Amino acid sequence: MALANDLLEQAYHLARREPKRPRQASLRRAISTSYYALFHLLISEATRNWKQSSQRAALGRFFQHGSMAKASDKQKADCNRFLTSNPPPAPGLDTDCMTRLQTVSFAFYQAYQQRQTADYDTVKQWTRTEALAIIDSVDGAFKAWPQIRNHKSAQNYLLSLLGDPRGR
Amino acid sequence: MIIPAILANTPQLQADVRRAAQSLGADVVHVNFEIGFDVMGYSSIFFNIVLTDEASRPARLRFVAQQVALTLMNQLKTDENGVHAYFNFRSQSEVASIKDPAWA
Repeated sequence: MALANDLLEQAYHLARREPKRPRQASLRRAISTSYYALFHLLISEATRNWKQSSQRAALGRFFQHGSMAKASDKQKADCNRFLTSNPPPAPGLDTDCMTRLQTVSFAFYQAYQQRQTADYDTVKQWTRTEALAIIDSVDGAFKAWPQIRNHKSAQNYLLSLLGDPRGR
Repeated sequence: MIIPAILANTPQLQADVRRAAQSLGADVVHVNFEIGFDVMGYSSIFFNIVLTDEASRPARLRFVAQQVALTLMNQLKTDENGVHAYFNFRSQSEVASIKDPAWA
């Protein structure tokens, strides 16, 4: 968690540098760093479930960006379906969890796409507002996660980040 | 490659986006969009959303951006239509200083 939190703090630091004319390099690194903050947060949370603490870092290497993005996209859609169902879901723990899980999964799949653009598309010009909106979304995920980390749906999401066992 | 129906009918999509944008309130100046594929290869709609300078202030940006994204996704039913939606936000001042046709 320390690494993830430090990365998020660093992302804000980079996005707020150069108050008048932010450098593209600062904004690009800010966006990319915010993605990695969430990437490491979720891997850290998933590997906490592994009993042998000395093996958690090695286990974390099995997580892949693309698989995590696909799982997040599916989770976001599942949350949206649940939350916009008719009749609306009753208030309670499950609805609360799905609302926050939507925040987390939405932030991940958005940040994954934005990070690719920030890292590789040199045509795209970024502004500070664009960067801060992405980082804010990740920060929202950081704030939402502790509230739901023990809920069954959140734990299922963590497991799904490993990818589809059938390789799809 | 199968293109989702929502993206095949551009005039209809433009009308739907315009209608959704009108419901977003005074914080939103303009909503533009581009159609393409995301990094995973999925059909996607990339929204470029211009916010007032007031709504772009750090204290408000988080709330406004989340509300706008959710409203557009829900009104256009992007998930149900098999489309990935991505959101970028700029302030009115930023748009004025960077002459970018994608944001005009």
